[in-house]
Amino acid sequence: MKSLALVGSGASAVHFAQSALERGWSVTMFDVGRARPDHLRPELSFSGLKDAHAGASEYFLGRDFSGVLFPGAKGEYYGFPPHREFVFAPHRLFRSRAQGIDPLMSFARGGLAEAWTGAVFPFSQGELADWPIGHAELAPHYDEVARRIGVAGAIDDLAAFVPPHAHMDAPLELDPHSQRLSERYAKVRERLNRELGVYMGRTRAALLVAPRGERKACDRKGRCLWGCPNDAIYSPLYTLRELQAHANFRYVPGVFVRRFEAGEGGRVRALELEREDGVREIRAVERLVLAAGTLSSSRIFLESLAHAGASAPALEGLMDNRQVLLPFVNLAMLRRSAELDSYQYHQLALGLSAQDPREYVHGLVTTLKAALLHPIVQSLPLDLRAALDVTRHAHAALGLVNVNFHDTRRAGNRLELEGSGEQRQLSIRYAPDAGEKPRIQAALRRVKRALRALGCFVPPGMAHVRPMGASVHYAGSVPMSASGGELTTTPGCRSRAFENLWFADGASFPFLPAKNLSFTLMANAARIAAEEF
Amino acid sequence: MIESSAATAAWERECAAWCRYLVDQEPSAALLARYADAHAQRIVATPACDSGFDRALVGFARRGSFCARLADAHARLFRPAGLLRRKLVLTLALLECDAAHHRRVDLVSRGSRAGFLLRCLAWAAGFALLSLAGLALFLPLRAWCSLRGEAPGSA
Repeated sequence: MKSLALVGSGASAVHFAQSALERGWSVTMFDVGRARPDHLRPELSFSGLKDAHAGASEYFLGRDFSGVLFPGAKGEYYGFPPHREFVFAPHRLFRSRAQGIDPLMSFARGGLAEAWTGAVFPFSQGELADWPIGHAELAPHYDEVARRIGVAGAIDDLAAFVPPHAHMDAPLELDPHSQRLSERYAKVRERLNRELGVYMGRTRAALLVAPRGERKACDRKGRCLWGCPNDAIYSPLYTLRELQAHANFRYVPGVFVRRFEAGEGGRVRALELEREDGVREIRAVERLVLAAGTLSSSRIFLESLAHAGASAPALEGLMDNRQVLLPFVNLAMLRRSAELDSYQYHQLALGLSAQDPREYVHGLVTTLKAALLHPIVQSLPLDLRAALDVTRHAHAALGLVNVNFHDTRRAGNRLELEGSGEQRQLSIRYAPDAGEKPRIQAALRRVKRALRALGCFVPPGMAHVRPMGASVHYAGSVPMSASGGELTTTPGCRSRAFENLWFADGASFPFLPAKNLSFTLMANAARIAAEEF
Repeated sequence: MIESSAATAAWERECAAWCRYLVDQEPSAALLARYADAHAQRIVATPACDSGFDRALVGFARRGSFCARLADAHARLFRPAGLLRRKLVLTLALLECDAAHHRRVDLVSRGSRAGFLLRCLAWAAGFALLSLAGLALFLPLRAWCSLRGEAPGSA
């Protein structure tokens, strides 16, 4: 039987594996694979948990209080839930030094998508202009992935920027605040579209609105950020669970892939692994697919090149989406009731058109429902008691637009190894392009004007430019191209340096649109399996 | 880490003062234990926020809800990441996760928009007055701490 080795268990890896298995391949998946802890009292809602569980404080804030956002915490409006810290917990063998970017790594089973908000936004034809493939090549795989994971959404004004796909369930009912925004948009739509080039529509989300297998439908428990206890928001873990039932699939957790070895003729012949007990082993491979995430796959590639004798190998063109958080107050929602036990993530999105479709700007509109309030309360320019009272009265009116910007591959944004032996580490360098600041300012002006037209007040001085790395949308280090050098891939994401090596994750993206890339990661991985295997 | 019962009792008294200031409630036993635990874990008072002035501000705020608000208003403007704000934010975080108190933080108040705006104006005016009073009171204290090398940022 044809066999392949696959590294990683994230969004790209599991969908590559599923498609490869369907095509008759035997798949062995190597993964560090830190396991997700069980859900605490999955039957309880956000407020029910606080009411009924003595350990709620530890659940929300952590035993070590890491969930408390103390003053000066870089302007973030929420902390990462302590019991989900396994997603970003470092690994002793992955050493890195970053400059200009604060990268987040994952060694969790399910990868970085364990922290995914489920945003499903296919790339448009215009956004794929720098790719050697077009939307037509990805479209059937978008359809297939939507069928596998469950997507809820609607075809509306955003369809001009977010191409429709098959297998889309009706979206969840809007929360009252989002409903209000949506109604207001209907009234000012024409003006927003014409004068500002701003469009609003429903978020497409990898969310179950009806049960599917072991996964239950969303019943609005308000615990999305802490990990949906119904498993309604998609995680690659659920696909991995299905894969493990397949006779030709083998999951090997607890191993860190150090590098691969190549033989004569530029063929990968083995993987060097290190188990948790420190024992190293060599596994022969016929074909190797790296899907460990852009930074991890790049590290494996660089280590392997160095081992093969390459002098100071480096990968240029690292990309990441800049994100800016823009809080707003919807005056029509002041002193209305807020539904604490509600779907927590964004239900609406904004699209800002651009003459060049690659410069499209995307905004996720999250209304405040269930959330820890202390980060918001302390950010108001009042004493804490006054700020708490104002927040309680304004709770239902608060919202946040997460404005996303595209990124391009540029020289200097590079990954390379530094040091030697056991001290060798991955150097990660990133600098934004010179045009970033005016681009952000121009987009924020449009978003603010749109929010005002929607009846919202945007408090001055509260926009927060998130540091690079915070979006966790890394890509571009080994780009696919129609023709290119050794450190690129073919349009099928096959390495030009090693004939039996493929990159099935974001490393092969030649351009990064202003959208969450997870859905495209999955679709592209399925495409690679379908076209190359 | 084993802390002295005197230290624990002091943290509990302090926590009770913050709870009365923030939500007009006495803290639950669970909240008191968590507040003391956070201090025992040494995550509240970091070297950057634990100057003589910070400790003096906390000492003043402990005297009662009015003093706490006065010191907090000053800290919001001039020591936003100082010891007092850290202690108050910790207390707020604990309150919103505690069965006995979370509704005092979470529960959304309803009413008219005009009422809300008037309320905001009242809070803002109060904050402005307290900030001015705080300046008169705490600037000399800060200057005195500076002379003793105990002001924030002093070596």
